[in-house]
Amino acid sequence: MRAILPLLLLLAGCAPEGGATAGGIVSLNPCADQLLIALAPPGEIAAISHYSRDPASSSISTDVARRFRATAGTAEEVIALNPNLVIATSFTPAASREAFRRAGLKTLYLDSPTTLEASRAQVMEVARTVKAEARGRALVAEMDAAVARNRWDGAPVPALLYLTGDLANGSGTMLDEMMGVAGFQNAAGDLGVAHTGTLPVESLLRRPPEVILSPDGGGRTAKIRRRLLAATGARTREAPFSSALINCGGPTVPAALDRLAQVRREVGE
Amino acid sequence: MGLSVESLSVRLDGRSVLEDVSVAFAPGRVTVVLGANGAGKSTLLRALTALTPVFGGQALLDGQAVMTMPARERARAIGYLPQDGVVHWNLKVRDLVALGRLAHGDMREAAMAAALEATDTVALADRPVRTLSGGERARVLLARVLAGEPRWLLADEPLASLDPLHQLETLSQLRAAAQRGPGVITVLHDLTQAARVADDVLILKQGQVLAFGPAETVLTEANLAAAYGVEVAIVSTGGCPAIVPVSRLNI
Amino acid sequence: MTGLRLNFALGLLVAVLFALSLSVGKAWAPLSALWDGDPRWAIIAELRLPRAVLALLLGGVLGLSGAVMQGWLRNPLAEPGVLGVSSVAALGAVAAIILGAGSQWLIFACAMAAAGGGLALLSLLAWRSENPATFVLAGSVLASLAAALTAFLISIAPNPYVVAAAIDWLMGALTDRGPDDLIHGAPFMIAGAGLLLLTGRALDALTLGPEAARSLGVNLTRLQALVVAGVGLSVGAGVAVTGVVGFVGLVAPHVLRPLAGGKPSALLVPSALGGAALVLAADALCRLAPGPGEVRLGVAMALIGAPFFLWLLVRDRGRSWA
Repeated sequence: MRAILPLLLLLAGCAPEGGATAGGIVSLNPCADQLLIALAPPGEIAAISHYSRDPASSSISTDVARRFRATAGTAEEVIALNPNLVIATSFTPAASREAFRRAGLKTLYLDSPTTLEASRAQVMEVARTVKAEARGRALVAEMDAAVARNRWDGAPVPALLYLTGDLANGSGTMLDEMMGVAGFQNAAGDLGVAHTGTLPVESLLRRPPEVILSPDGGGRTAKIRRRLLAATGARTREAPFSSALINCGGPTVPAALDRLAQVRREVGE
Repeated sequence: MGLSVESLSVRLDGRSVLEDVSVAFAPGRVTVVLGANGAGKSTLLRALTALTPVFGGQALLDGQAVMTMPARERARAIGYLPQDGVVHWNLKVRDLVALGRLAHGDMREAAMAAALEATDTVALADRPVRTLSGGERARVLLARVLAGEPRWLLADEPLASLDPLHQLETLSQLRAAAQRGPGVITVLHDLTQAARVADDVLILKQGQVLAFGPAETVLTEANLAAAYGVEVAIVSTGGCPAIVPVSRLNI
Repeated sequence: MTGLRLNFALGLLVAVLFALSLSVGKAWAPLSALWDGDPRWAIIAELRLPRAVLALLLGGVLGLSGAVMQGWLRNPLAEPGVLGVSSVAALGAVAAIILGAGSQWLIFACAMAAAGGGLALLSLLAWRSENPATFVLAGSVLASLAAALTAFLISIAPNPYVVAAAIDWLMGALTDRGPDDLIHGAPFMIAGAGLLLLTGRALDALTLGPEAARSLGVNLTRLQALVVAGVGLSVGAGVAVTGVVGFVGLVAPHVLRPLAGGKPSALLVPSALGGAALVLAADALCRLAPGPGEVRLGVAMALIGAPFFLWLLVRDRGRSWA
């Protein structure tokens, strides 16, 4: 009987990677992951989402992501961790949210910010909830500084930003606002695309953009788009824009603005 | 020269439907095939047109096995009028009759006109099939077979669902067809009609030949009793005999 | 209406819609740009012309397949999707999109490969049967399986953008289909159509039922091969290029049957022309819709086709089909 005690203690000491086996904060969304890692001390983070381990959908580097335990977002895993706080988004399935509620977990649901102001507010909200106001304010200050240093004085040039493949970023998004700050006129927004949507190549030919930003060089229509732009004499340059800069607000904002401004400078006046 | 079966055996679903049947059909004559339900009458016709696989023996046309003949050659020689008389699409009568020329690959007007005349359907030529009465439709389907100018005409129960007038008409058309040259082989149920139209009669019982020969010699009370299990009365009406089933035989 | 007059009238309609298709679009490009040296000629030559030709081929092939399927199955409600080829081709394309190979050529190749595999499986399951209904059952099974696998692939997609791309593709569109799509798809569609046009005689004979047809010397096995290969090639290539576009194969022959006279062989060319006209018209409407994007062609066809069919059902309440 006595021999079992050390065995049990041994088992108790076998903590899963990442630290606490109970308590802590669980995040279910890659943007929330990024925000959490920026604001909270690592010891308090019980788990992040599995998306952050996939370079295609993550906004943080995979080395950083690997330091934390990952969940697939199912209610079972989350409840088993018995966290102090669950951060998810309004896209979390209703069934999971209901499960968290029944389990009595404290939750914070974030939406996807569509303006820089909303992003600042979201940063502060999370900072307050995880009791890291100071770091929150520092992050907001970084964002403001990035806006200030990258704001373009001259005339904006028309540009198109593809989120992936043929999906264009339209008006009413935070990326749209950032493009405006950096000196770009969102061509998709001008053509009436709200949030995200596809644009037939013909529409682009009416007023060809000067820059096309894209994470992967475009999808199915890229080839024909380039051929037609060249054939109609438009001088459109293409610039890579990493997918890691596309998805989230908060800590991503300074990097995204820096990149946008860099491209703007290449285009010139 | 002729259509015949030699030691023909056909099995369907493991059951023997025709067993060792040997018959030589004569051209220019009407042969009526009689027998109880399930005796193998339709199967015999279908074997003659290579529509059913043969277990033993063969069906021969002019000495050539029907199964191995080129399909078009066989189709030109043998015209088959199936029992169900289905027409899936609402064709004009003219187009329906023209289908009979498919094996020939031509649309010989003379053949089609002759077929329409023979079946008294010239007036119906431009009517859609669905607007015809049962009798008119049966005549049109017969015209389709005649349009192919076959040397052998096989008809499976062509009188089903026809009123007495049209039954008599169809029978006279079959007779007229035989008189023009082709051999006619038809399955009938009505014994009186059989007596009326037949030159030869083949009686099948349980897949085997019970009797075959000229109508007068085969259509006897004894043969019909053996074939159907029914007592018949053969009544002379001063022309064609009427054959009337009277009662069941308690054997 | 005689066959020739009907085909001529339909051909005229197709020509008019074709010309219209070249002029309609989000950007204004006058037809004269083709010979003026206007740089906008590229819009017409590289976007609108291949698109119009594809619409013509797609509609033609779908209409023809529908007419052949209805003749072969002796049922005026049959349509090319019944063999399951469209669902399987769609599965191939979605697999390419989800697994990250989103280029035009790869999507096409995967869809055609899937269609070929589906056809082989279909033949394996149903070949020996004397009854085309077996093909319909096998096709139904294939379609269900393909739909389930498609849903599965979408569910394991790595990110929501890929999901959006897959679903977008599935809805069927001629948007931004260019010369490459035409070069890849046209040979298969034309080959398939060629095979289907050979079935006229046999389909006519089938009016009298399979037994009478065989007694007329028609080889039903050969017909089966022509139908399966023809529909598989042409519809498979159509789906591989544009996604799933339904209803054309059902509506075109159905509407034209009273005009063409009921004989299956007389319905083949009119159905092809009618289908082409339908798709050209629908595609032009897709482009005229307000807003930055275009309406998806598959959606447009469903929006046109389904109410039309409901109307047919109500009108013919109790009346037998055809």
